[in-house]
Amino acid sequence: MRVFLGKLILFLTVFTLLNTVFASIVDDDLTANRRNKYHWVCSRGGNTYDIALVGSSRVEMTVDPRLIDEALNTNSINIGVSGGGAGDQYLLTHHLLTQNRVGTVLYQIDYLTLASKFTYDFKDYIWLSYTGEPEVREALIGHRGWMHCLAWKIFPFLRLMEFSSQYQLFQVENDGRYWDERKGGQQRDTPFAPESQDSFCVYRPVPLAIEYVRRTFDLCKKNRVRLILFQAPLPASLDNVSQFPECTALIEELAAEYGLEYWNDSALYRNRSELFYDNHHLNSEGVRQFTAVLTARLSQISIISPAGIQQSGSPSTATQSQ
Amino acid sequence: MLFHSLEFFVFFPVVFACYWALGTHRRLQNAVLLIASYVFYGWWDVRFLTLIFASSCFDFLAGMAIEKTDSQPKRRYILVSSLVFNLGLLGYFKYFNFFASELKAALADLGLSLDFTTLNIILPVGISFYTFQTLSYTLDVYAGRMRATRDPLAFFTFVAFFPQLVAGPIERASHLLPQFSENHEFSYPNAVAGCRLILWGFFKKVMVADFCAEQANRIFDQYTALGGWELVLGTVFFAFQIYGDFSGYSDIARGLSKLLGFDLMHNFAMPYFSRNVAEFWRRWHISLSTWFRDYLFIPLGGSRGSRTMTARNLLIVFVVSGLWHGANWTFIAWGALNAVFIMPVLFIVHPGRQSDLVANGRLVPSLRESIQMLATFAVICFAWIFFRSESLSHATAYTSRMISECVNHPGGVLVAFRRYRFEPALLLIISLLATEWLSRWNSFSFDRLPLPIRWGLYQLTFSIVVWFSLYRKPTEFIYFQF
Repeated sequence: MRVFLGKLILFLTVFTLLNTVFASIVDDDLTANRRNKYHWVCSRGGNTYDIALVGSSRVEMTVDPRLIDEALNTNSINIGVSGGGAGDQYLLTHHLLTQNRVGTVLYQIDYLTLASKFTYDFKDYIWLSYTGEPEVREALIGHRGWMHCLAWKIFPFLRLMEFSSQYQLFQVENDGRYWDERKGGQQRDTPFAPESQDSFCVYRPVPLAIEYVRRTFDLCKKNRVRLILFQAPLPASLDNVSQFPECTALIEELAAEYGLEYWNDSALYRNRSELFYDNHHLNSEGVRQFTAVLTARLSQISIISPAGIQQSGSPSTATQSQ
Repeated sequence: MLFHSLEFFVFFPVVFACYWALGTHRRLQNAVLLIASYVFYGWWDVRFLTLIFASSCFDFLAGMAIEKTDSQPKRRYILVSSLVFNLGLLGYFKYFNFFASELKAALADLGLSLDFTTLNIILPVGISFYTFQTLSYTLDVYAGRMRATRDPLAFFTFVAFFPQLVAGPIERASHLLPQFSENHEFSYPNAVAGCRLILWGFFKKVMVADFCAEQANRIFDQYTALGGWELVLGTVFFAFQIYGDFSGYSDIARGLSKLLGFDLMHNFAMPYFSRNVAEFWRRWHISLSTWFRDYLFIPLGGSRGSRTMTARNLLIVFVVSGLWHGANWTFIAWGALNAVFIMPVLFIVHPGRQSDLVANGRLVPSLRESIQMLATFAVICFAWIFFRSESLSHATAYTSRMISECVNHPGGVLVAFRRYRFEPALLLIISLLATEWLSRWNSFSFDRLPLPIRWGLYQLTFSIVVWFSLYRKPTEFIYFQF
């Protein structure tokens, strides 16, 4: 029995070591794929941005930062991510603000931000590549529990097994040119999965999501960044498949509590279904029109430049180092 | 609880530790195994435990009662009671809805209308397996082939023994039951052999069966839109899915049993290397084939009578075997087809037992052997179409499309391979066949490989299995539904 157990332990130890080595090799490659929006955002450093657009796909595919920059001679970035929850948005904003100089954050906040109804409410498989940062560790423990995080730490290959469908284990590097060219925004005119239809859903605020929205507000305040909340347009057809009055009320409460500007454009194109490609997102024509609306509004207000000087409609000259 | 689930990875080490910690206290060890087996079975649904407990009680008492009395009518009465009880349970849970709906349809054809309602019955996992196992005990005691046990703990553990409870091998009481009355000492060679079997079984299930299942399911679901050669590939994938799935389970069951000091019978002996259908049935699901041979075919008269009688007996055995797999005409058709395929072999070719391994002692088979193996595999695959299909109409439509498309577009075989990503599944099938072929060759022995290569292969296989199974939603073994 002793010999058997001894050999079994040796076998499992060798297995653990070999797979740990493999995991560490793969892990280095994961963040090198800047075609992934999260890694692209986290790789930004030493830049100066007048405007940063934060949120989910409802900002990534709703506002084109290039149009704003053309009109206002600014340097903007869109760090909205498809399926990004409040925790993801907080961590991305944290990366952006601590590694770059940002003047104004436009935070697209809505029912998707507060209700955490995404397939992955928190992209732990992304953030496990950044566990060296205390904020990331805290968010991981907050979302997944300390035991799960401990298992990931002791057996680094577990995360690769758990999220094997999310990782390309043997990929080539990508320099993120796709996002560089678009400044983080992208447009779409047809649904990603044409056959999929929304099933009826009631969106209710989730405490953890509310906590990370508050953290994002505090983060902007701490970094002396002007924060404006807004909500992108929604089509009337969304009413047929969803209800979210609690989320709407909470956004207004939060804006009032923090004394933030809130541009609620959710009803702007309510009866213009030709500007949407699905129940949540504008198509490229819708993006063009809505970005023009935002640009016009931004030109009317004072935008705090990253240097801290208030400007009206003519923010700082664009600079970009990376 | 599935073997390739996280729960089982925790469950088995605990059972293993508790079992061997008791040293040679046989009764305590049996108690641990019984509790573990009931936990294992109850994990699916606690209500199932009442059935297995009732079945165990009935047959334990029936065995003792048969042995106690010398009166032949009484013995026969007790045996019939046991058969009625066990087959009644099986019939109620597995076949009630099938026969009720078929009777309703038949009466409707005659213009009669009866208000039958089918019942919302959950099929208890593995009921066909443990029912046949307990029946073998009563039948053997009745026939005087073994003495009735007086140890209820040993008997209850024999019926519920978790490694083989839900998908076999269907053990004979005369082989397994005495092992619960022996003291078990840990054996290093046995444990190593057990670990190898478990690893190989997991590879067959998690890699071969599950990868082939993806392809087979897709092809069978969309067969109306696919070409003939793709449908041919679909049947090949299903053939290896069911083989990997079922023989994988049997290997894991045998491996786990070896770790606990028990020996279970071989259930598969490289069936796809058979040279005719009769040989295939001596190598496929051996525990069930021999069960039917001993308890149905031979009592019916076996092959002792005329050819007509033998043919009738074969047809009965195969149709009942098909029905054992499930309450559907497809299984009955599958059984009947196999009976039809086996008859020419027995009556015309008459190859004798042919139990020796193909190309024994040679690395490469002869041309004749290769053709025989391919032809056997082809007819077996043809029968699998009926086994896999949801209805007879589905099976016939699939078959006719497959044949007509292959005849009309013989060059489509190249398109079939190019269009879809079949490579991973085919590579796994080739790995499986190559390993089995080499292990059949006497000159090859895994133990002769240098230690680093052996350990390298273990590590590689273990890593592949863990990577592909740990977080994937476990897929049930096909035979659990039977």
